[in-house]
Amino acid sequence: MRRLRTFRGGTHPPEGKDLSRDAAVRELSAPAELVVPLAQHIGRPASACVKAGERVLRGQRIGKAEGFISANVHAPVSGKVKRLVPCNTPLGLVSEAVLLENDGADAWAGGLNEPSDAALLSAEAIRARVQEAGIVGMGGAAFPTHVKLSPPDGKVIDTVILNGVECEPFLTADYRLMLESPRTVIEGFKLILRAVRCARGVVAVEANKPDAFAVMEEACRRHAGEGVGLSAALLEVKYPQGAEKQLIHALTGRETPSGGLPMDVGVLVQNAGTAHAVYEACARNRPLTERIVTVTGPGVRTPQNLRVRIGTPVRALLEACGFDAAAARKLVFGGPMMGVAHFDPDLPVNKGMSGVLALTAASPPGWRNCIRCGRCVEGCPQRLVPSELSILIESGRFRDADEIHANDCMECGVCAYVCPARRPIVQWIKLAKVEIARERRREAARTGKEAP
Amino acid sequence: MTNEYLVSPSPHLQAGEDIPAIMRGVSLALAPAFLWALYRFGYWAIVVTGLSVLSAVLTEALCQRLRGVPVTVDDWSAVVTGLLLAAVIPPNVPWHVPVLGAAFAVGVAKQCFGGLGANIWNPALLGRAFLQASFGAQINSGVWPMTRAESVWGAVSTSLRGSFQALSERAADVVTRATPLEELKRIVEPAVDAMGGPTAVLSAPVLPPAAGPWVQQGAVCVTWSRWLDAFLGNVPGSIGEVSALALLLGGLYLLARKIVSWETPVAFLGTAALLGWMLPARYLAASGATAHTGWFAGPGLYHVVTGGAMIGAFFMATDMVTTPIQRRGQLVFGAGCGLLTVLIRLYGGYPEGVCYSILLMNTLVPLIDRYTRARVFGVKKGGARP
Repeated sequence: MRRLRTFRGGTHPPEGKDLSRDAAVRELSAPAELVVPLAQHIGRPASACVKAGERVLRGQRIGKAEGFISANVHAPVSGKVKRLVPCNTPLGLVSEAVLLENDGADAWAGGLNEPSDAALLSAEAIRARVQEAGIVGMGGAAFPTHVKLSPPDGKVIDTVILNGVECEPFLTADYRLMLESPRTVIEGFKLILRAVRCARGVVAVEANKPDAFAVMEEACRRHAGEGVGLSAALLEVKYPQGAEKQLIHALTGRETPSGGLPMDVGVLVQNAGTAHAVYEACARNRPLTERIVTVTGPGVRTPQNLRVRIGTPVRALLEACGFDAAAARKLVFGGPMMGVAHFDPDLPVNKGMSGVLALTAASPPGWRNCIRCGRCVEGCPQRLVPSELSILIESGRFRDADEIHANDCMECGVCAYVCPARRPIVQWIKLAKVEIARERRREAARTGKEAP
Repeated sequence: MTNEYLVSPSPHLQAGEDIPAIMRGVSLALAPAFLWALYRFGYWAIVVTGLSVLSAVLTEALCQRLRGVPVTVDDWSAVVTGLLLAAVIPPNVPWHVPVLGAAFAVGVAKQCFGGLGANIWNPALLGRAFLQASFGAQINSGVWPMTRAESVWGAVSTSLRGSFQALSERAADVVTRATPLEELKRIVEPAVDAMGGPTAVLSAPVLPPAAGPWVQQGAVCVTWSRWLDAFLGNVPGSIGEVSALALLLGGLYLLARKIVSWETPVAFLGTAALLGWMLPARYLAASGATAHTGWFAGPGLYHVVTGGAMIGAFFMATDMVTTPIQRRGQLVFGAGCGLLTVLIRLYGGYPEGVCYSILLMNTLVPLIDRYTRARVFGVKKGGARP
């Protein structure tokens, strides 16, 4: 028996993956109208480069990246731009969006959707393609991928990790992708390796997906070579196994410094879905206009993994899966541990949306005093003392919370999940981070120095 | 779809076990000890326990009403305090002793500090310390009857008339004996006659000398039957602490349910056994003078199965609220409790040291927590921020 790699801490919530793990990815036909947000990523929103009434083809750029840390947005269907509209985003903000009328032809713009020989692409060319295709981290964070592929001079990447862990309960989108399309994922992974001139790639899969692991291990063996070493690693089933810093530590033993990035320890982590998107952009000339979304939870009758166009209203996904509108109490975008709840079922699917959960039970309100049981301390993958943070923040002592490293919290939510007193610990820490930043800005304004 | 959907920050899942579930788990873990008490001491032990629990719950509710905060007796924590207090007082006490003790434990030791989670000292143990100070004769007489009353009503009616003494006199099968710890306080060295056999023992009038621990060739000896009695609980003592076996079963249950971690009990009992064996014990020499044994001559494991060591290690020193939150801290805490327990037992004024040793260590918890805090992931030792 192979020894499973893991990190210290964490917890094991009920997986809930059985609901959708056997549902093969199904294409959801594009709706008649799509709302394509211009802010789907971390960084500056893209700016619209089409006008109302203009005809667009699939893959045509409709939103232009504003600066380096931003991402292009492309038309997911062919049709007509009706107008620019405001739309809700899962983060609770309002984004400008392009309202598209689908003509049903699905006609690609010139030169797109045609195979090209990705094997000939240089590192620079891959980065350019990725940037042009508007690819962002598809595990949920939606950070522009070309930025991660462009480490500054002096930062050498010696290991790239393909994150197929999918430790969030309920989600099976990456699992299905790896199982059904290992070749494109591995090809995309190799392109990423080439883009950062790295020769060592590790595919990380959690032990609850042995079939996906076997498939990826086989793919690694078949596609290694040409100076590139590929391997697959099996990890213990534990949340948050897929958290970047914890994953790096489990696989390489390196500890990403507080406030630092994986590149500081010579590592780059990319999600399996992102690798697939990189392959699509480089080998098939297809910009990012669709993604796989797990639609699941007790509030839908037939949970599924759907390949959907960016901009499809979530309502269409839910209805395709037998949405039980009477029972659903909460809609969550992403996984149940870190996903975002939103009131608007007409919210459009964006590039980072890995799942849509319809939950039927809402946790009862209210919490009690901390009884110092230590479960949050045991569970915190960052080795913080969440109980103490929660007590400090509850009484408004943000500065003290800062002293005991509130900002090192990565908001995985293990503390709040395990808390027998039902204290909203991670929620308070999120609040404290905002307050700490505000305090630092005030301090900086007073002393006339730059905020750190 | 005209639903309104709840919006709240993540996580959107919650683990099953809440505070009432934990407290019910602790109560259940005490069941073997109380069942043994029912068998060993009779109904009155259970009546005393019931009074203690009732008083704890009512005091909790009353205090919370007075404080104007929600009444949370449904969290079972007052029940646990009531049970633990009853466990550490003798069965032969009049009814007002558990009632006052539990009222003090919950009203003063817990609610005055802000209720569950905010108290510094273990409420049940502070309640016991209060009783020791107030009813020392009944709580710490040293020689307790080991008896079974003939009926509940007989026990209640005699208790209402004042004391257990009357009850003891009425009971048919009274056996009066010193507690194992009292015996440990009065170790004697049998005199040896010219033939090498033991002669009459000089001291310890209530002790059947051959049965209690004695000193032979400079080492403390305990008979196997005494050992077994202490382990099983065939000894006089407090209601819930006589049977090491019953408490061990409950402790293993708590460990299995992950309500307690192994660090505290292992460090506590390990230190007590080690020091109980290592440190010289005081005894009454055959010459009539007080003497000390040599080093490494004590009955180490006997210290673990007697008195409050087991209940202290598994149920008191593991109280979440009043003990360190980090596992490393729990090792320090447990070891400190073991050390103080043995020091008090061997050289202190009381036969038993568990109660005060835990209370003293409770006081040190914030300090232990501070010095055992783990290094934050990605932060260099010393905690400097990047």
